[in-house]
Amino acid sequence: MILIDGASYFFKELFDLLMLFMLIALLTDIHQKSFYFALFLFLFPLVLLSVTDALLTGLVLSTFVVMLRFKTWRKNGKRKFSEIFGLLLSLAIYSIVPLFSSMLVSKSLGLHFNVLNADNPLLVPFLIGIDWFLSIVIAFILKSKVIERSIPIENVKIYCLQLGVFLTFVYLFGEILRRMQVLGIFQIVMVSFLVAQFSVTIFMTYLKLKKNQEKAELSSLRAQMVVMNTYTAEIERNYQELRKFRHDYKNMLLALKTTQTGSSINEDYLNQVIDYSHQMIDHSVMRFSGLSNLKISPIKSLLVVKLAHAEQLGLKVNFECLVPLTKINLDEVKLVRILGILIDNAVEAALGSDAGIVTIILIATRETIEISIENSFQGKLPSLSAMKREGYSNKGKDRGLGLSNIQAILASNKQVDLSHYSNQGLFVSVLTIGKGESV
Amino acid sequence: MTLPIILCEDDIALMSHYKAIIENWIMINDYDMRLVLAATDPAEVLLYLSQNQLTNSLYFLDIDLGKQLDGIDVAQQVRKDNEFAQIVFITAHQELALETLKRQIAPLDYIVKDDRNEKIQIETVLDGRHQQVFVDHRPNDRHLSFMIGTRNFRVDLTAIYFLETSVTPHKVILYGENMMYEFYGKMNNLEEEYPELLRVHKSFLINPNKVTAVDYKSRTIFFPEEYSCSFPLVKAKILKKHFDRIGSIIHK
Repeated sequence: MILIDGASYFFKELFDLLMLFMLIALLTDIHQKSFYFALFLFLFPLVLLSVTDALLTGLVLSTFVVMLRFKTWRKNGKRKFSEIFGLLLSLAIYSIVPLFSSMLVSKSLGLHFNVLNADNPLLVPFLIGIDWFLSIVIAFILKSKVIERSIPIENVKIYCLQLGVFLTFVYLFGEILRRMQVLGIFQIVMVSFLVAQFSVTIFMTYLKLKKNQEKAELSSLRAQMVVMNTYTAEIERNYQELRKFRHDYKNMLLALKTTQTGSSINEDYLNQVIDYSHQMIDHSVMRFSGLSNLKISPIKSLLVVKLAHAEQLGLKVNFECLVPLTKINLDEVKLVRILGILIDNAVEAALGSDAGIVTIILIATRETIEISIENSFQGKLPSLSAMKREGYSNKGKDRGLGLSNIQAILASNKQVDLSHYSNQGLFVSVLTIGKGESV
Repeated sequence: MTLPIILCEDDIALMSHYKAIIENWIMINDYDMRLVLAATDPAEVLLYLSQNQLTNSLYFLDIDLGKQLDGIDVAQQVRKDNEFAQIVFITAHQELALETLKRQIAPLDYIVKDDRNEKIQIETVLDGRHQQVFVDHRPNDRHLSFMIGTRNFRVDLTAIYFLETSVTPHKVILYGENMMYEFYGKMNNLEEEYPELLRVHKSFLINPNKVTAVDYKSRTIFFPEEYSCSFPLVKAKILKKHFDRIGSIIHK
């Protein structure tokens, strides 16, 4: 460190502190005028403090900023971490750049360390100038590369933690070295080492986070593709059935025309034709057409997969949704989980039954949306209270968490109700979701 | 009391046609029924409902899903005000397959429009109503009615085994012949409303006529289909008194 006399040092610290404020302005998004006003108010005491003790200055500054921003953070927690990130970056630049600039200046002007330089009046403004220049350049680079790119909050937290640790180390080492009267080149080497190490760490963190994100996106895309494929396969199957139907129908009509002699129509045959067409339309070709009314993607995907699966298992599956549904007043994740559990239970029970029927109906009334899942079952139905108890299952141990899970999910929710009933071999679960305020 | 009948069909020719069938059949058989409203616009029906208090009633409603779901709206409104109104849907063949309608509105029957024998279908419905309401009467047959979601249910008391409180708060479970229902209800209210049922436990309300056996040692009551419930010591006396009076239950 270049030694300069007290007054110049004071000026240097003053301008460095001003530089810090400017960095904070650049690297955080704080526009509150009162914030900067308060900082300026305490400028003088802060400078005095920084002249004597760097570590304490850093601590006091951080505490001060936190105190000033506390109210805003309480109102809008989202900005908290990005502002802390900016603050830590500013402090990092503020503590490191002067160190390096002094080294640079001393090298360029051929000065000696630990020797008082009192006869060069341009020295201090030069130092200040270099500090400012370097800081602003670094700040702008950081701003465009890092801050402008919106980083997810989780990642910002990780970076803040690393920066915090880094700064702590820098200050600690600075203090220790100063106490031990080790100055000069050793201090610079120490700090360079720390900077290098933490840069590497942060960079590797960034790489890892990016890789994780990509992995997550990829698996989500894969899941979507599976659903799309199932849906497409179902549509294609439908199309085949439609073609068969068109072919048969044409033949039937032709036959009708040729058997008709005179004016009497073969009533029997006509009824056969009508029955056939109704059978095809209602139960075969268009049986899942209601799915197009369900406009909520995750639910649609879930139903497509579950219904197709149930049909593959040989069950007779009915689905109805007569009116377009765009919004359900229940968190989608919860709804998907609940429906998943209910449908799995229904399919399992239906498989064990002779009739093998699973029916899913979505009904919209004025005040509610009802999802009704029905299945045939065999034998005696166990009591509902036993079914809901955790740990109960007729599929063996470790499986009985379904219904009690649903209860846990719905426990706090006043808008949603799940009821069950069974009648003549059909077990029905009715999920009623009110259309009131959202939950 | 005369059974009021309401007809709603938006094709005016058809509407008159049905009106004639209904009124003729009532007249020929001298049924205690009257067609009080024949409308083409569902709004008229709703207006009539808001102005008149109807209890027992019969509705013939046209459902044509090709247009807006007006028929269903009317049916829903009717159901809301009068849970056990008898609704007959007049529909084209396709709507018969609709499970949604069956659940939401639980219609009494369907009149299929494109069939040639609409007349006979309507007459059958009227016959059925006459039989049920005026001939069979059965005033002693009480029902327990409740709602699950937006659906109404009415269960014959004679088919109920017992009710128990559910682990879900504020709900009770009803067990009966081949059936089980879980719905919102309070044991105390149900006990009051249906004195035929016996409150043998804080959580159990039983139909004594359906009890197959009582074991006083283990304090268990048995029902068909392997159902059972327990009762506390304090109720043992009440049970004994009740069954001694009936004298037809085996107890150990």
